[in-house]
Amino acid sequence: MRASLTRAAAAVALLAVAACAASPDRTTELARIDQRAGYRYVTIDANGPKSVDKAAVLMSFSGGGTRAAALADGALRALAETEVGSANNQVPLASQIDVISSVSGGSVTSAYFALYGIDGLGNLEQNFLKRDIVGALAGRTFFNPGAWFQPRIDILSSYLDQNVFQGKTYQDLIAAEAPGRSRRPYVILNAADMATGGVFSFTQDQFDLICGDLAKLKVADAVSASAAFPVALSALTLRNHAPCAAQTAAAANPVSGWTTSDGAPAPVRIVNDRAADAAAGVAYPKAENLARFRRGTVALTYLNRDGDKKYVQLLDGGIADNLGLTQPFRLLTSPNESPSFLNQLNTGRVNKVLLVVVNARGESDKKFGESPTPPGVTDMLLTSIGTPIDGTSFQFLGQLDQLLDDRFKPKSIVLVDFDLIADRACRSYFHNMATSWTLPPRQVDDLIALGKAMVLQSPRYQAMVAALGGRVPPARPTVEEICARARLGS
Amino acid sequence: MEGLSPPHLFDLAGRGWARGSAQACAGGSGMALSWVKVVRSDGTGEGVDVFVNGNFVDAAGTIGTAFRTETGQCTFETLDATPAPDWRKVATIDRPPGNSKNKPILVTLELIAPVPPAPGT
Repeated sequence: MRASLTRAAAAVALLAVAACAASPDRTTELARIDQRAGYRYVTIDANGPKSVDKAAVLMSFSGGGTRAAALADGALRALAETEVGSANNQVPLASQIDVISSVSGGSVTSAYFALYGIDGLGNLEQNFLKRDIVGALAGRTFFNPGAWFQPRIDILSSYLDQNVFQGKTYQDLIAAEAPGRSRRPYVILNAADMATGGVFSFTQDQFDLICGDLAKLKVADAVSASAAFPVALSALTLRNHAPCAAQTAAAANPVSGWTTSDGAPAPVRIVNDRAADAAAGVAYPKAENLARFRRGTVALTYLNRDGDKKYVQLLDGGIADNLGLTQPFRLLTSPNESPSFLNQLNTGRVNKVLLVVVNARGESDKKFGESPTPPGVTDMLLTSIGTPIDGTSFQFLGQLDQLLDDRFKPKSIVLVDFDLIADRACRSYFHNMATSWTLPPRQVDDLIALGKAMVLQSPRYQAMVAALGGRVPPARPTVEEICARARLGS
Repeated sequence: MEGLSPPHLFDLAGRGWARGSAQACAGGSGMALSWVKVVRSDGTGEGVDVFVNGNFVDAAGTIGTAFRTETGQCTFETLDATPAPDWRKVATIDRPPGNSKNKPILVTLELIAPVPPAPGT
């Protein structure tokens, strides 16, 4: 953590020279709201139908810079090496993933996988994980006077666009590039909205609210927003086009999912989430689950009815949800979402679920408990930023675990988390890796190997794969062997 | 060298998780979901898809068969053979004692009055 704080401080100093200025207008106004078009699960599913029936496969990737990106890459490789299906039609489990929800560093890996699939898994290592991204960004800032007047987030976005995502947009995620090329999985990149403090997901459902056409947005912009570490990077700004003609037209279409409420267009789900009985000036929500009322309240702000939300300012998604579990939780528990696994369970289309949660949370090695002297301003500032980002969402995990216990047989939440490493020294080795966009290549190798081994060695994973007609290959190296290697190298 | 920790996430009591309380959550009240059974006021439509809250992509269940949905206000609709919802009910779903698949909340859809044609058509 000391190394991570130092690096973060250096990043702040290096990038602070970039002046604050207005961002480019990234969003294009949406022409038409259609539940079956745009970047939504239903269009991805139509382009790449699954061959394994009745199983929902979800993953979530946490934040944590390159540490998180590499660990997630390893977990994906485990699914790529696992074959499932009938005897005469075995396919990699990675080709059957329905949804990946990610924040921050994990979003680099999920977006890359969505664009380049299983074949591209090895390339991320050379194109991103083992590159000196911090050095490259600093070079772009110092040696390019034009960059001094750009918002700092644009420097990251343009770097990712040119060097990792090659100018691709969400339209590239929707369209099949070649016959047989699957667009699966549906990737949900998550940022945090500075105004609401809530999760802002890069899906067309979310963009319907701001009347934006997600298909026209660069993937690098979404990844950058998801990874916009506060202070070191500026917020990513999106233009809010709401209210707009497409929303008005949707409210007049009985199968759009939109209606008219308080004289203005709104999705039916928001109207119902927000339903309340007012008495003596207090609105008493009809939702027993108050999170639902809050969800509706936040969503309503994007409709910009007061005209004061012309822009959406986005920061690192880890601030709102460092495990990226908000969306998987909603998909499993709400009938409103697309895809709604609750609905699919109700109607018999799903009876098994695999949720792989990749958590690259770091841990402080600061000795705050050894001295009576209060920590300095820098420590306090960086801890204030880092603590919520590093914080984990065990509430979600606990609720999901119970939900899956009740509903799915077999259930399988597979956790990839440094906390599960039994050997204390090894656990500490991984916990103390920096939160940075640059890591030593050996650490990247160890993270990839660990992510892969923790999935393959999981008894729950093995039970689920058996239920899907497959068999898990042995982990090579095992977690034990990775730890032994780390000990020798340290 | 030890192997991996216990396979179940919530078997880790006493191992000193840094933050959060998984055990407390796992033993909590769980999802705000209730079982409902949707029927039409005229008794027709057995097996027809039911859509909830304007999600016309994923049917939430079918007429006559209990299914789970979120508590709070919900809009239940069927499309049947028409290009627009033909039956609808906006209802507040709570979680009464004993609610289960065998004891669901009954939701009765009403026929939507057809929209009169515009003058001159």
